[in-house]
Amino acid sequence: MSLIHGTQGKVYLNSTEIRDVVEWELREESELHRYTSSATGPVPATLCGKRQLRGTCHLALSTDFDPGALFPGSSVTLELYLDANRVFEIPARVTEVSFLKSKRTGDPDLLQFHFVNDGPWTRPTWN
Amino acid sequence: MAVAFEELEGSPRLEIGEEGILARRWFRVSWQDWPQLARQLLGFYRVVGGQWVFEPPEPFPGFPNLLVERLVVEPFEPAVPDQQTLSSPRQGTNRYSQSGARVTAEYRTQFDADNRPRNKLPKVPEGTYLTYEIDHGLEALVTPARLWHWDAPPQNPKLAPDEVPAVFIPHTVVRLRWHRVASPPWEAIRALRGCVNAAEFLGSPPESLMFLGAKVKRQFHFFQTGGFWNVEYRFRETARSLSDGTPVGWNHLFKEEPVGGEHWVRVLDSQSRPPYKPADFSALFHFAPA
Repeated sequence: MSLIHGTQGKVYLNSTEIRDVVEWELREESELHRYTSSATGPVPATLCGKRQLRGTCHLALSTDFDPGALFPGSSVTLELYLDANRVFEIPARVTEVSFLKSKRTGDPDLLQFHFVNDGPWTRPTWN
Repeated sequence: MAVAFEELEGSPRLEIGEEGILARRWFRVSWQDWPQLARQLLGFYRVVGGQWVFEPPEPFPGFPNLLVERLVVEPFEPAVPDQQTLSSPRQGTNRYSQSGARVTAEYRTQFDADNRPRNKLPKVPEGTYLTYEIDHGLEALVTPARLWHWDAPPQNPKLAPDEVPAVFIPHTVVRLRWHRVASPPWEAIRALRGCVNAAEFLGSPPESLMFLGAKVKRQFHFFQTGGFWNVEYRFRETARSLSDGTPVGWNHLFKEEPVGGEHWVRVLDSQSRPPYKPADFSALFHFAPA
């Protein structure tokens, strides 16, 4: 499992950009199938099971953004930037949406949503 | 060539019951090799130079009479099928080249070694075996009333003409199942229906066992070629006997007037042929030509 995070990104809903991401994090992980057999003896061997990605994004709430379009089950495309040249492109499903209050004003000022990948994603290259 | 496999954790498992042993083993094998492992476990026939050559099944170690009766094949790790585009269901199935297949083999006690508990079974080709089962039946022989009188001295009166006494004669239905047969002897089955045994067969005296026919079905035919047949032969053995207990067969009919004190007398037609042709049943236990 690897945790990657950043502060730049975009959320697309039906190919339309709905908001910039102000903070994001994501994890790539794999289910593992451990087993023993006549070949391994008591020390288990390990097979890779489902490979998946999940993460969280924060969007800034303001009067020009209607958060009603984003709900659990929404299908979105995420572009999450590590820097100007390195980007994760992720088709995803929203699993949970919550609104975070500003500690300063007490008003909701951030929308947080969790997501999981919906199909293969593209990793940035480091070359 | 033998297939590379692993026997998985928890294998084997054995249950011992009235019908013998039921055992299960779990194997992991590469996805492309499961058909070969299945053939290896079940055994198979091939034709070499016009002759059937049998590759025997691999029995459960230590129990040569414990053979595979069922196989279940499934992905070892179902969550990771190979990525592929299937344009129609007939084009292919999922493949699991990363994790391979899990093969569950169920073994069951299939026969007694060398048929010791039921000897006198006919010899069958290597790799096949016989199982034996009997059931009972009864035939009613209706006799004319004039044959009998009441055992009521001193008059011992005759039965009234409208009384129809029946004599009940027990018979035995024998089911002889021939398992894992390469090719049933269709011609012999057809030719021998209705015949009786010329010599002692299955321990039955000559002419006492009539061949009724066969029920034949396929076994383990999971490939287009190969697989086996299961042949169930049915015989009926009569329990007719002379007054001293000597058994007689189907060609002895009940004669109203006894001969030499016996009512059961063998009959022949004008060409000295009995009603039921005596025959050698050994042809029922040879494969049809390949």
